[in-house]
Amino acid sequence: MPLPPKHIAILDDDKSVRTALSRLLNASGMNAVCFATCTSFLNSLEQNMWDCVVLDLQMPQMTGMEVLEYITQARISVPIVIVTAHDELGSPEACLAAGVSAYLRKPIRADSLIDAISTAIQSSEAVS
Amino acid sequence: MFGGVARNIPDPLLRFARAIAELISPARTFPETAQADSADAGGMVGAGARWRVSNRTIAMVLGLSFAIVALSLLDSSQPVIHMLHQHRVSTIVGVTVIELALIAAIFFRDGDRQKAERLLQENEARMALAADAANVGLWRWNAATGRFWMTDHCRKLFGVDAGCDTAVILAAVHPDDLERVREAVHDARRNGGGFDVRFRLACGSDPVRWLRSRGRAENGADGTLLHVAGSVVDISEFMTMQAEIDRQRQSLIHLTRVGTVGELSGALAHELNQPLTAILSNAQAIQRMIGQEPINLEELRNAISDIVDDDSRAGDIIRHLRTLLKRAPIRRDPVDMRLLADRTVHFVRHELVARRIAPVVTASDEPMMVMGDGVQLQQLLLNLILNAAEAISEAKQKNGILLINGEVIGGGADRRYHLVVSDTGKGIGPEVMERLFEPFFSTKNHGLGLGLSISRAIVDGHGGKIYADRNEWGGASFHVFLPAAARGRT
Repeated sequence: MPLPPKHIAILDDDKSVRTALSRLLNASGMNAVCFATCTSFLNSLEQNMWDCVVLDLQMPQMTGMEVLEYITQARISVPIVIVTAHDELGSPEACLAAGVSAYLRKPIRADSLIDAISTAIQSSEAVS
Repeated sequence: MFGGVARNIPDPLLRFARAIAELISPARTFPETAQADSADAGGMVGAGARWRVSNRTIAMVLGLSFAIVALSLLDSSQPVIHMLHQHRVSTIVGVTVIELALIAAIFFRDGDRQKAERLLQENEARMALAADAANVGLWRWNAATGRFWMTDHCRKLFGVDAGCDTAVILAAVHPDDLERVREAVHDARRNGGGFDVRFRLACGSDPVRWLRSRGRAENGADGTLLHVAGSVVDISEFMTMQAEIDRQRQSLIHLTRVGTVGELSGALAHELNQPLTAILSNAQAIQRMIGQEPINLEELRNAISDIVDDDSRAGDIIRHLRTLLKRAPIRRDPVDMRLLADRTVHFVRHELVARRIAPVVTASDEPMMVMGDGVQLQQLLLNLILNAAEAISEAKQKNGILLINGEVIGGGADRRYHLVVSDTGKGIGPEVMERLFEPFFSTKNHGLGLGLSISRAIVDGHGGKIYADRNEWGGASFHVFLPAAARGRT
């Protein structure tokens, strides 16, 4: 009996990117849902339904680092994979220190993303 | 009176009178050049002709008078004749005395005229000399004759001969500038005012020679054109220097634009990475989809369509970058400032997002056309937007506001595009305000302080104005006014 697909939240302000990433993850056997704004994503966290979050760093309302900070303070346990084209907003070291599972630079190879998500989920499940 | 006397004079006496006239009438000649120059300067050919006629007449009368008096004296030596014609002789002698007095008066008056004409010629010569010394040529076009009077220097500048006509002068003007010269002079004729026009000569010389002519059309009391007169100066050196200054200015504008784009490199890399990420992700999604059964054709089509769109987006960014980085000749095209503002904000979107600045662009729906160079006008917008973003960042504001408002104001010839770029930064102090647009003046720790001076150079180059003031939020507002393009040219 196949395992149920993992639920992945994608938070990116660029419509093209979040649509393409969700299409890639869905074609890879996952169930990806896109969020255009931080507010809508943070609201969804209350339901604790995400196996992993794919997070962009540069967004208009809040940066990815601020989202990370919010999640940490809210004591929400969810594995996070950073995908960014802008190193200046958060160094890989700072992100990893903040509890991020993986830090990937755009453009992203599909294998790298899926491996990072799988590893993040497995690590999270192992801890829990 | 003379006619009546002359008719009664026998032929031998008339011949004698003519001989006397030839003897006492000096040949008055004017230098040919002076005559030609004077012709259109003040109608002196006519005066000269009158002078010669009256001179000959006076000489003739004088000769006759001498002859009559001599005859009377001869006749009076014979007592019978003298007694017989005493009354007639007395009358002739009396008339002759009066005529001599009149002739003396005429000579005196002609002496004055001669003196006046000599003074006029001397004055003209002095004026031409002074004008030559100042490298200024003088000219006058006579509407009646269609010919030009010119000083020697003026003739040398145009490379034409004395007394040339309109066609010769127009042939000396560069064909590309001919219409401008015609329009300037015709406007002056129509409006009765002056003109000031710069043009090149068509002599094919290298380097090109530039002349500047200023003048005025003068009409008679009935409104008919009498003449057009003016001066001409060789401004080739000035134009060469001006061209060099323009070249240097354009180089500086271009270099600062390249510098600005360089500063935006991080944001631009992000901007370019987004479509590349989308393209790669879609392509890899398609690779996975076509290995699945059944194939979701609709999703496949959507993915391919998105790839095409994102490729166009990446191409637009690269083209945009190339346009900004390339050094190209200045253009004068109709530019829609509303679209340009939108494009510029989109171009720096990631830079603004990184600074946590939300740009707000407000404009009416109608196109806001100005005639100008689209690249330089975008550089102006870039400078002002980045300057505002910097001000907000320096004020350490989160979610600072950057407002870009455009509107068309005024009407007719005074129709202008008014751009205002406002920020919520700390504003500009009075001591800074005075030097704001000076080159190399900056309150920032980094940068050359050229952004605003270049902005002013761009605005000046488009015939506009720029100034800054403190806005209602305590930040700075930069106002730019540019002449709106004529509606027909949009």
